[in-house]
Formats: sequence, structure tokens, C-alpha cells
Amino acid sequence: MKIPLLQVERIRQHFGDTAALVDVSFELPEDQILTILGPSGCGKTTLLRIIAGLQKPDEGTVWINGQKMNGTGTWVAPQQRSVGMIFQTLALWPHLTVEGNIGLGLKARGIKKADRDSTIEEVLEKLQMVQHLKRYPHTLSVGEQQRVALARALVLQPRLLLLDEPFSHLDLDLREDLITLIKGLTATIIFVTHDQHDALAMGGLLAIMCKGRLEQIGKQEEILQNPATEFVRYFVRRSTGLFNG
Amino acid sequence: MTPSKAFILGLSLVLFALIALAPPGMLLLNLFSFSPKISIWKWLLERQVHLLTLHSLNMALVATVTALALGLPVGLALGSKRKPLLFGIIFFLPLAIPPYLTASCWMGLLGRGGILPHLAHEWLGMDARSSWLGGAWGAGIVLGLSYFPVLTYMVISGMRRLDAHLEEAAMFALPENGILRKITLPLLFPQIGTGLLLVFLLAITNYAVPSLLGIRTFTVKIYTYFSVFQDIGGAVLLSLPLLLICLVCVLLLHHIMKGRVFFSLQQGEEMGGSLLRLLNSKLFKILACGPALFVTCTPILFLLFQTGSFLSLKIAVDQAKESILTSFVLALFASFCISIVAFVSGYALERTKWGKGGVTRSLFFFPFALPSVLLSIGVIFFWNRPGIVLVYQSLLIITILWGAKYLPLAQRVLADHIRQIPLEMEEIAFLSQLSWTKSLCRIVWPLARPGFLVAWAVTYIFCLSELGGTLLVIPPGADTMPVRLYNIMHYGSSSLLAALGLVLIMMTIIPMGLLVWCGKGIKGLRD
Ligand SMILES: Nc1ncnc2c1ncn2[C@@H]1O[C@H](COP(=O)(O)OP(=O)(O)OP(=O)(O)O)[C@@H](O)[C@H]1O
Ligand SMILES: [Mg+2]
Repeated sequence: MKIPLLQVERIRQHFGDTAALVDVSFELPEDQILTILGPSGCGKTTLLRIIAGLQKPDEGTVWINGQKMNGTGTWVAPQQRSVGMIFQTLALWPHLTVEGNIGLGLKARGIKKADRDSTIEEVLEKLQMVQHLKRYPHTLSVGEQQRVALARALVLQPRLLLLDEPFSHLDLDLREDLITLIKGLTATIIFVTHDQHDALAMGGLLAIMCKGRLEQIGKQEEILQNPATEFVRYFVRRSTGLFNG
Repeated sequence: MTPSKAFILGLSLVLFALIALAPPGMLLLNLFSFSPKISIWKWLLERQVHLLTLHSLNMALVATVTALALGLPVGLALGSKRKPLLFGIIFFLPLAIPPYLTASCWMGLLGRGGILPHLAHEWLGMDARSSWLGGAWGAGIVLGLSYFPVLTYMVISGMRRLDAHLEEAAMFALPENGILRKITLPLLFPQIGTGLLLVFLLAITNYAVPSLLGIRTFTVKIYTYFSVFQDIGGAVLLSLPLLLICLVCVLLLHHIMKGRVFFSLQQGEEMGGSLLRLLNSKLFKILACGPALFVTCTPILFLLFQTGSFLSLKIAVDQAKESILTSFVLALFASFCISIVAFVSGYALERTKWGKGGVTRSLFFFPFALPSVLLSIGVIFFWNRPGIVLVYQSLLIITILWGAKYLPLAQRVLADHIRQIPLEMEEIAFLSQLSWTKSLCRIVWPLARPGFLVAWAVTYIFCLSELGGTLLVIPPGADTMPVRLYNIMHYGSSSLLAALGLVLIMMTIIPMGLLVWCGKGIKGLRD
């Protein structure tokens, strides 16, 4: 059997007294989209940060492509994990243009200017953003900024793409556009949201989190039909209610 | 932590420790080896110490009150929504005039045999022999006139971060002056408190002004003990009560500053600012800025008047060419090096776990709160070693002294600035496969540059005019502008003093003007 691209094994994380993550384990096969859905403060961002290597978990292990990322004596830095991420805040570098924002990672890899330019153009074309190449982030609309953040992550062709509520503050049309765009990518993606609507629109695998625990993970339809816990049932009822009305 | 990160941060901290922490630290650790015979208690109980405390506190408190009276209204006026640009100049100019120069100007105007007492005698028949500017009060006022922009800057930076909605929300419930008293001023309290404490510290550690006005403060006595009696032990012992006062200030400062950012440079000009009509009115602006403008321009006009002609200015410059060059190059070099070390060590302080601790922060800021005369004794004690005589005998020793005093301040400015850069800006760089070093150069550095420029400017201004400590460490034969001015104040002519004073002021204003101009240019390009 093929090893899954990502394996997360009994992750625990505490911040003082709050348990942000409690025994979270799951696997994600290659080229699948996993949507993690959960209310605010349930530990979604923390989980993504641990997968990306921005934070060491108190306990538990992350494996990417069968390679151990952390553990006693092992630590793979975020630079070496080949993980792309979009933060809730986007974190575009305000002192660089769109081109600079996207090209910096390529430059760090030592790719030549001509190759860089063509790669950047290719990515921006996919996102319909070529005309904004020379603009600074603060002159772009929020939707355009989101596309730049996506382009910055995509251009390095990461094995795994982590999206932390990239659509907060977007209107419905733009969300649907971007969701279609993301669904069209051939990549392994974890998409985090607290919005049931977005989660259902994304399709693929669905995971429900609550208070640091992973309540259920599986195909979307399965979860809708057989919610495993009371909380999932409640969440599902709300979301289907949303969907129908 | 990668090896290169550990190395760079470690190096900056070692440099910081060698320059700023080791000199005063070694001095205090060796306290008992200097003068084992004298009991501390006997010293502290001697009447002299009480008098020194009284004078020093008196001077510093008067300075603080003066700064409050002048600086707070200016800050409120300049920090309001509509900013009078013209008046912006008074928020900078007083800092360009070193306090001892201000003191000598006001002495020339109000002191014994000064112009105004003289005129009063001629026209009104008043007693002209006594000085109108004497005692700790006079020194305090002069220091307040020099340092009020520190408070002004704090208030402005506080007002820029003020959320105008908080005022708007109160408009339904309170009249204008009620909002000012109940909302705006309380919101600004931390900044006002910090500004006042900084002015207090700058005043109580000042040596040149009390020495010039003949007031026996701690700094003057410490200087005398060291340079006249050659008694390190006595000087250090004498400084203990002052150290206690400064320590209390630093702890208070830490308490007020807890978790807040004080040195902020907002990018958008339109952002922030009070909406109150009271503060935005023309009348308030004139009433607030008028007095400050008056006390700022008077010394400069006095210097111009005393210089007399362009020719005497030229003669003075020709005569002092070497000191001008030394001062300029040295201050430029020192402020640049200090700001670089401050940038990296400020990063270390801000972005590592241990750096966030209150003890570390207070300890790292403490050298700034020490009088430079004491620091210079520490620098001599620590750096005057057989293996490295070259350091001690060259101008490098002055750079080190300035570093000891101003590195902590620059570090605080930069640490505060780095805190305002979201950590995610760096994390996304790591995920884009930039190494830590690359992310420092390409992400953190450009984003922290405004803070770097502020730190550099502040350090440059303070280094250029530093006097008390420089007098003690300056190698024989060398000469900086303040030292030359100081000598002229005692032995030279008043027109030469005025001319060189003007030169020193221009040495501050011109680089700052260039900086602002270039900054505008860069900003213009970006928008
Ligand atoms: N650095 C930190 N220090 C202390 N507590 C933290 C820290 N980071 C997260 N937490 C806490 O951990 C819990 C989970 O936080 P997390 O940001 O992962 O939630 P989230 O699911 O992403 O929420 P949201 O949907 O609002 O973004 C919260 O209770 C939060 O307060
Ligand atoms: Mg989150």
C-alpha cells in the first residue's frame, strides 16, 4: 500500500492551562483535499503550525512522505518540509511588490532571474493576476491579496499546502471563485475553516474538530449521514440547515 | 535554532554585554576592593550625601515639571488629527541644542551680568548684580527646556495609536473637556509616564548643566572625586544613592511599559490622532506651541546675536576644523555601529523566550539610566588593560562610552519596532525556504528600517552632544566639539562660543534634514 503523504500521530499541545490539541491523529493521502471544520478557538491554527514546523508539539509526531519530522533527536526545519501555507492574516510582505513577494522564495533557491520571471508569470496567469505584477500589497483589494498569498505558496510547488481560513472577510462570489480555483489544483491540501458553507463547497475529505479534539474524519457524505458524536450531529444539522435554506 | 542564528544573536549579545553591561557591572562588583576602609554607612549618613540627593532630586523634578508643562500641550497639539506642520520643528530643535549650550545662553540672558538683568538695572533701576537663574531650580528649568521634546514625542506616538472610535463613543455621553479628562488623557497615561521618567533620568544623570551653574549634584561630585581626587572607590560609593534612584525609575518604567510598544512610527500619516475639537482648534495650538517655540528660538537668536557676523562664524570654523571633523566622524561612526548592534540584539531580546523576561529587559535598559560620568569610570576601569592599550588610548574609547550609554536606548527603540512586525512575516519566509539569516536581511531589516533610522538619529544627536563622560575618557590631544565648547565656556570669548555653538547645532540639523528629505523621497517612490 502507498504511504500517505501526511501522517499526524497523537499530537498534544498545551498553552498554560488551555489544551489546544488533545491526541489528534489522522492521515492524508496524496492529492486529496482535507477540510478541517471547527468553531473558533478549537486549535485549527495550532494544528497547521505544528504540521508546518513553526511550532514544536508537546507530544506526538508528524510524518511527511514517510519521513519523521519531529521526535526525540529529530527536527526538520520548516524550510526543509516543502510545505506551503497561507495565514489567516495573509502576512504579505508590505515592502515587496507582488513580484517580489512571489519571487523571494525562488530567489532563495538560487533560481536565475529569467526562469524566475517565467515561473512567476505562469502562476499569476493561472490566478488571473498578471496585470498586478508591479503593485504593492496595500494597493490591492483583499481578494487580490489572497490570490497573491496563494501564488506565493504555489510557486514553490510544495508537497503539502496549508490554508488557514484564507477566505475570511471575502464576499460570497469571491469565495466561490477561489474555492473552484483551489479544487482545480493538483496538490495535497489542508483547508481550515469555521464556516460550514465553505467546508461543504470544498468537497473531498472532512474533519470536524472541537476543543482540541478531532471528533470525526472521513468522506463528506459519510459524516453527513453518520455523525459519530453529539457535537458532529449538531454541527452537521446546522450546516445542512444552512445549505438548504 | 540554527547555528548561524545562534552565532549572530550570540555575538550581538556578547557585544552588548561587553559595551554596556560589563563596565558598570565590574565597577559595582569591585566596589569593596577600591576602598575597603570606609564603611558605606558612614558615607551615606554624612550630611553631604543628603545635600547631594536634595539638589539632584530638586533639579530633576523641576526639569520634569517644566517638561510636562511645555511638552504635553505641544504633544497634544501635534498629535491631534490636523497637524500644524510648521510647529513640528519645535519638537525637534531643542534636542539639537545641547543642554549646556541652552544653559549658557540663558545665563547670558538672565544670569549674573546677563543682558536682561543689565537692562532691568538701566531702565528700571532694579538690582542687577544677582543672578536670575541660580540654584537647582535654574538648572532644572534649563534641562526641562532641553528635554521636553522627549515627552512630546511620546505623547505624539501615543496619540497616533489612539483609536479615534474610543473618543467618538464617548461623545454621546460626555462634553469635550470631559472626554479629554476621562478618555484621552488616561489612554495616554503610559506614554506620558514614560516620557516623564525618561526626562527625569536624563536630567538627574546630567553632568554639564549643574557643573556649569555651580550646583553640587551627584554627577558633579562623582566627577570631582574621580578626576580631581583620583578616587575611584569614593566616586563609586558616592554614586550608590543615585543608582538606587535610577533603579527605581527603571523599574517604574518597566512597570508602565509592560507589554506595550512605546517607540512607534506609524506608516500612514492619516492614521490615528485625537478628534477632539478642543485639541484641533487653532487657539489651542497657538497657546500650546507658542511658549515652546519661544523658549526654543530664544537661545538660537541669542547665539546668532552673539556671533555677530558671518565672518566670526567663518573664523571660528577655521579654528575648530579638527574638532568639528572628529566630532562628526566619531558620532556618525558610533551611532551607526550602536544602531547595528541594537538591531540584532534587539531582535534577540524580542524574539527569544528569555529576552521577554522583566529582569532581562530592565537589566538591559539600566545602563542608559546611569550617569555617563559613572559609565566613563566603568569604561576606563574595564577597558584600560595592558593587552589592549590601543583601545584606551584611541578615540575608540569614546565610542565605547557612548555605546554604554546609548546602546540600551537604541536597543529598546528597535526591539519595540521589531515587536510590531508580525511574527508571521518571518514564518512565511521560512516556509518560502529562506534561511533565518536571509529572512533577517530581506524581511525583518527592511520592515524595521524606520525604527533603525529613529534609533540612529537619536543616538547620533545624543552622541554628538555628549559631554560629561567624554571629558573623562577623551585621550590627551584629542578634542570633540562639546569638549571644546566646554573649555571655551570657562576660558574663551562669548562670540567664539556662540559661533561654535551654532556650528554644533547645524551639525545636528543638517544630517537630520537630509534624513527626513531622503525618507520622504523613499516614501514618495513607494506610494
Ligand atoms: N501562542 C499561544 N499562547 C497561548 N495560547 C494560545 C497560543 N496559540 C493558541 N492559543 C490558544 O489555543 C487555543 C487554540 O487556538 P487556535 O488559534 O489554534 O484556534 P483556531 O481554531 O485557529 O481559532 P480561530 O478559528 O479563531 O482562528 C485557543 O484557546 C488559543 O487561545
Ligand atoms: Mg485560527
